[in-house]
Amino acid sequence: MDFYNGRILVVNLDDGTSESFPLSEEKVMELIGGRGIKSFIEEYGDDALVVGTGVLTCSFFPSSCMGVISWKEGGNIKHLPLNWFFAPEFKLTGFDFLVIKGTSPKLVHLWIRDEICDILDGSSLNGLNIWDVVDKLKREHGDENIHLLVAGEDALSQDYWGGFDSNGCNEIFLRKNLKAIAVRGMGSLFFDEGKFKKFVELMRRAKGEIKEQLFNETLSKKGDLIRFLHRAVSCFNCGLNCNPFLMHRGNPKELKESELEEPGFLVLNPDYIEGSAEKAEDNLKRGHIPVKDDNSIPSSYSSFLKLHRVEIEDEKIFRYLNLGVCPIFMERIFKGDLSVLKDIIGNPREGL
Amino acid sequence: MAYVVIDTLKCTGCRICEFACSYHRDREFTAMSSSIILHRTDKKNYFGVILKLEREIVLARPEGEERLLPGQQAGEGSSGKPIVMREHCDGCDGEEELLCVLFCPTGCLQKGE
Repeated sequence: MDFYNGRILVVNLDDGTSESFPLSEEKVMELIGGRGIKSFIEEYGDDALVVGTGVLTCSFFPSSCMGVISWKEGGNIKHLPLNWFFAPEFKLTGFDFLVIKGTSPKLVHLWIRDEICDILDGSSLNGLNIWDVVDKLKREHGDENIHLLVAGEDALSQDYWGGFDSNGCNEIFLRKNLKAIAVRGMGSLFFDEGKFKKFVELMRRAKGEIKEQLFNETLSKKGDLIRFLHRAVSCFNCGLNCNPFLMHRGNPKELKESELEEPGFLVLNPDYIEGSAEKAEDNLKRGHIPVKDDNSIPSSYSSFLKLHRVEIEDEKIFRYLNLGVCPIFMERIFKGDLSVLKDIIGNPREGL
Repeated sequence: MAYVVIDTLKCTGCRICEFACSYHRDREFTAMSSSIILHRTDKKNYFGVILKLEREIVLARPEGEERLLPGQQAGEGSSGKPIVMREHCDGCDGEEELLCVLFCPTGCLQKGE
């Protein structure tokens, strides 16, 4: 099956077991056809929290960094977009979707790699802030390159750097007694040579359009914090460096490795910045996002897109998440034209 | 043989070069068989590219490039599979162009003349 591993990982926290199941071709067609990750909740029950990758997540398609977490609450299905590196890293563990059912009797974290999943005691993580949890799990699992989702006070964090969780995903993690999910992907994904040639064509087309420095837009309403700009960083396989690193300790113009352990922080989402750099860093460490809503797509993500001049309806955002590509890249570089994907995954307009 | 020139300050850490290089080797989308890896210290936002050539290893650090012979200490971490265990860059032998250069979205990697 091109682009997907063909495996779903199902974790049952009630009894501490995990199993994997095949992802059928029919299911893939459903996903591409538009029903997307919602169908997993219909299949596995209202209690299921689903971490999903899109068909193009972790591929040569530029901006293929996106994933999504979905869950049902109060009769509505909610979605938390994931950018940065978690979704591609997860897909390289050998699974395409993670379904988490039930509630653990004690605090746990998941450690997923090489087509296996361990449900591990999380009691030593209790009371630690986000950065301490990330440091501790990287150290314990012996790999600097793992990526994590970590539950904080009221917002789920991607590695150290927060995210867009203004609509309550963190609360579901806490309710399930799930502190973190750590992933390390050393696997492979396959697609045929014809599709590779198509990726080459698309990359050539995109490269001519990648001219802007989008970190300026990320910081556009945040006063003079730009003076702390160190280097801006991209998500996986993207040339739009939306994410500025603010080095508010030490010299942001210094190129060699800082001697300080924590010289600053990366801005994945400017909503974390409340006034000062110190306050923003404190929010990141606590796992606290100052914005709250009850929306299907979090308002914090919608406003991030608007900041980057992308104003599209939630259904189209959801569509991009199911495809695994960044709405900002698709709208700014490919002008929202989904037909660019036609030769790679069929016609993605069907089912919209 | 075509070779890669690295302008480290243009790198934004997207990692696609690792996958492009591995695709040249194995026709798979993976980072495990590349001759090039991104080295990153997250909390310090310190990152650069390590490239294995036939007789030396290029450490393209933000503050400048350094070339090491096999056996010299690099002081760097590894990415699942250490650079010394990987095949050296062959200039994308058999490809129409250097794949890491083709997929690098920022111009950090360029073809040397």
